[in-house]
Amino acid sequence: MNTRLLILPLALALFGCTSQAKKPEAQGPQPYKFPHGIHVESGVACVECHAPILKTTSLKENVIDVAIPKKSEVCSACHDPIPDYKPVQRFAPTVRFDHAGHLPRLKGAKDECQACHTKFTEPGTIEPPVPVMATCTSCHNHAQDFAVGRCTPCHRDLRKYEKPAKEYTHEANFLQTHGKWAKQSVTTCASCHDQTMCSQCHTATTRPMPPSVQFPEKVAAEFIHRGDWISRHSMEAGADPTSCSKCHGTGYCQSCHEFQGVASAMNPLGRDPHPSNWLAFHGSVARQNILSCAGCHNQGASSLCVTCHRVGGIGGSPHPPGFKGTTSQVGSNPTCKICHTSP
Amino acid sequence: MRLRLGIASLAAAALLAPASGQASELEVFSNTQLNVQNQWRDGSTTTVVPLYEFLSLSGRNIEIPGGQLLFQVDAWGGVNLGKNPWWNGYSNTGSWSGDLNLAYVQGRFLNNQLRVTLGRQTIGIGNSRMLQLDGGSFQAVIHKMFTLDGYVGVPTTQRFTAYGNVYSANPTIGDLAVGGRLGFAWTTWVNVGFSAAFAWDQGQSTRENLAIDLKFSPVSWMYLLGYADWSLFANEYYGSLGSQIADANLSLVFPVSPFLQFTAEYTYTVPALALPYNSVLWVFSDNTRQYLGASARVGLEYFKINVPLDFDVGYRRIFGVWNGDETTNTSSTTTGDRYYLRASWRPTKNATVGAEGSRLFMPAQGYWQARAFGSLRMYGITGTLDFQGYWFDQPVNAISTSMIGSATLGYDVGSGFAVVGALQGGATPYYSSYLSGLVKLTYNASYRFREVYE
Repeated sequence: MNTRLLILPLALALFGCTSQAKKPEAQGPQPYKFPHGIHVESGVACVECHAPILKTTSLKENVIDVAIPKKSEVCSACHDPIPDYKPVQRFAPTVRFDHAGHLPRLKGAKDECQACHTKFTEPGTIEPPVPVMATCTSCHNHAQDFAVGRCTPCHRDLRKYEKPAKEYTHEANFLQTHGKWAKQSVTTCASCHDQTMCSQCHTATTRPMPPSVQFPEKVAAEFIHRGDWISRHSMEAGADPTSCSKCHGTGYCQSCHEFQGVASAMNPLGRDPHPSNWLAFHGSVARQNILSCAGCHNQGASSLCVTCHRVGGIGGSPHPPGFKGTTSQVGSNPTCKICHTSP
Repeated sequence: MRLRLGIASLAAAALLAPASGQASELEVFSNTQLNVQNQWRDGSTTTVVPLYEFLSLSGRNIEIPGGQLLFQVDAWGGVNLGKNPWWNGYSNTGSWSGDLNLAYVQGRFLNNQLRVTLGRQTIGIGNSRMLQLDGGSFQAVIHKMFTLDGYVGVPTTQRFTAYGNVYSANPTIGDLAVGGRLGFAWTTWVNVGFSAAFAWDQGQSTRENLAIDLKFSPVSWMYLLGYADWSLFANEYYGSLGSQIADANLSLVFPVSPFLQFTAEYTYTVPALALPYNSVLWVFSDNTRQYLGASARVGLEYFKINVPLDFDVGYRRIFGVWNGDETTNTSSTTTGDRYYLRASWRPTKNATVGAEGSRLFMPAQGYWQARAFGSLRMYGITGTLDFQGYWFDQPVNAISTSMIGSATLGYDVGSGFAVVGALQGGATPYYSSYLSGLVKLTYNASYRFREVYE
């Protein structure tokens, strides 16, 4: 079975990663040790210890660009001997930043590092304080990027932010409007949401149940197909047929209708789903909502309809008033040739 | 078919192996679920007991030379423990079923200015209509104000079984799909894009559409959203622009605050142009649908009233216009209405109570709907209740009402695990009475790799 082919390597890979991931969880994050405040107040320049930062063009995981000097007049002024200090190299950057590119622009400032870094780690600190975004926007005008949701040139991952800016909240009728936003900026959506979230509803490969059945505990969610959808689906399709067809190909409708015996040709009980005297008014119904017909009768070019509605057939011309097909188009379109056997 | 699955699986396995570079992250969502439910078949009901596994894996921030790698896999599998269930109409005959919803790898380069995605993915940009695709796509920032998106591949089908086939559940059928969008953005005012979507099935066109989308926001409290999708194919066969525009809408949104928002919208569609263009059915129809409506979200907190009670209210007028046959050239218009009102109250941080009602009226059929729901979370236990009823204007299967109630009880076991049990019962036009249940175990966790603690 295809599914088994998929699951086995995934399970193996998952097991391997889980085993590796347990190590850090068992130890937990170690607090930082260095007392920055007293050193800053004593006038020790940051570069005495952080000299590598001058050449660093990107932030790296668990690299804090520190090099404690073994011999230093600045250190010896207070420490004798200089402590053998081993820094905690624990750092999870949330943004991309080029220190080497920025620091020359701060030359001449009273304290170039503290222009951005106003808070420091102290002994016991678990989460290192980082400059707030206003620090960046005090020099950079990011209105353009903000407007189009272009966050990831600087931000590595927005998933950790609990409250996005007002413009990106999903209040009110967001379920109805989210598609309109996504047309312009799926990259913006992808800053916080994976496609796995989209595929809970949008999937042509067909999940075995709608989200409202899979997640019955999410009672406040606005699931489209919640409750007794089967009984009312034809009404919803009649009110807004295009909204159905944006997600469901007619093959999806047809498979169920055939299985349930709604499609008369496949109905073992011989029931006809159409009302009485159907032949007399089926044309006007088809004209009004062809997608309801397509739920059973869309066999591509070889639909049941062309049995009668063909050149020389008993059904007459099916084309609506505005139709302007020409004989040359008949020759080039295989669908036309199904009825127009001779151009 | 098997080859595709195998390649996707091996790619995922390789990427999940210990990373050699900086820390990467893996997010896992697993949902193992046992359902006991009725299924309706030809006038009688059958009890089925399927066991499902839904699995999503997302790997992020995998450092590679010149950029980062991301991968996502989303799949489900099911095995029948009783009578054979109906697997959404496909692969009905076996006890096993399953499908692969997503399996792609994405490289992010040039400081995230270029993204290239390969595999089974969903395309949502421009007029792609959330196309599920087996192929490749890219997103590129080509200038501070210009972006370019593109995609090419085969429209995905269920169970890998119906490529280029009318039995495809994908609204875009065919063996090749190509499209993209060129976007332009200027400050916070304008974001406009031009997109194209083409698809072919055995050389015959099934989609040929060009579209324009627009966001105009001269002030922070107002957005104008516009979209128009034009069918090149219909242009060859219909003279009027109204028959060539497949889909269009215009929305005016006033996001005053998260507690106060107003929206007015107009939508225009030609349902026949939602069909693949190799379907003969589209030449039978000359029907347009138009929708004019407004909606609002009003939260009492906006008015400094310290009660977390929100109201959503909306109305939509439905216009259906259709023309007669070639000789009479008559036209007719039908109208309908849709109303809804929803109130949700959060008496505590861990509790929600809500009620909603709606009305759909169409000349042929419609309904009234009412619903009440609530959820409460205490000591890691979450309980919910949900009741919903429909009253149909015309009987469905000779029955005019549908009543459903459900209750769930869940418990957070910890370490990312949770168990949920649910019971649902009711009486509907297709079940004089029924009771179904499910039990599921979910697991949701993130792992970080290569973190080094001293």
